[in-house]
Amino acid sequence: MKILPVKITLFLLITLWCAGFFFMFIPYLPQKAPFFWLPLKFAYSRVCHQQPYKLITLGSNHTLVCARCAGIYVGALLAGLFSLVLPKLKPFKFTLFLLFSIPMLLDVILYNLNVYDYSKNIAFISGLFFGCAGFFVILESSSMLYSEIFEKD
Amino acid sequence: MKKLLPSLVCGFSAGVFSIIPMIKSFSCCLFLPFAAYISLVLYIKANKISERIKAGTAAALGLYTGIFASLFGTAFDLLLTLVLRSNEITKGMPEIKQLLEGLPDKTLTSEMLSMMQMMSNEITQYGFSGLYAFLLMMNNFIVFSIFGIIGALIGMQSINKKLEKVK
Repeated sequence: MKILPVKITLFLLITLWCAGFFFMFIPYLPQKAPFFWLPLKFAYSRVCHQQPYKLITLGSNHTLVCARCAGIYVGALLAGLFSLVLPKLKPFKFTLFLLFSIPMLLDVILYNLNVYDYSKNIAFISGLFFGCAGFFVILESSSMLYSEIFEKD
Repeated sequence: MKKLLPSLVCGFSAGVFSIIPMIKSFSCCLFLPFAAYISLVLYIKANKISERIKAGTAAALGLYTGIFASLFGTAFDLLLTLVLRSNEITKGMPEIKQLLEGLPDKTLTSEMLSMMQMMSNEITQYGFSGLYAFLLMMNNFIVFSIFGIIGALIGMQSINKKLEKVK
């Protein structure tokens, strides 16, 4: 089962997706191409509430998704990078993916039960674990899909 | 039809959830992959499948769920906008103005601002904007389809694992 084309494609797609919500942080881009900001904000609003106090901010710039979503996507990006740099890295088992989801689920539940105030750091890190594990599950499924389509006997 | 019905039901639910602010606040980007996973489960139960699900079948179900979610989500969003004469565009206008006025290219930003203002005015006056409807449909279609496929591919692994255990 060929896996390298799938790894590269997924990595590029995730990089583009992350570049989108980090738009404001990319040097010169918001000034040179401001017309991207609104469509991007609109696109990410489909999958994230974009509540201002949950966005990652640096000075006057902020991400277009909340800290948790940013953590998920950055986690997937890092996992994609590792999978390319370390090709012999074994894929995650699905059980491990469920285990890596627990911090994020706990954070969501505990925050909504008012056990503690929303913390961008906790949300980001818990999302990071989930995204990292999620990438490998998606990689395995995508590789199966690639085999079914392009490697028919 | 047996493939479309679970996707239709789950896509409808996801479309409804996509406009409820509390759900998005709670689940963020995960409600649509979850809907795709449920559509996969319903598909297996409806067709009494006991074999491993193929990745192609899962991806197709995820795509259908995403498409249905985008259709229903767009319809409900437009209906809500028609009734309330307000949405994220009209509420976000001060922030949009502030950002665009701070940028150096005044010609381009003034054009963008006038386009945004026109959209906001149409929504406030008539409860509907053709440009907003088009942008919403395009965005929902692309984003929901992608997340639907992702959710179904992840769900496929979980379901195949359970089916293997049963065997």
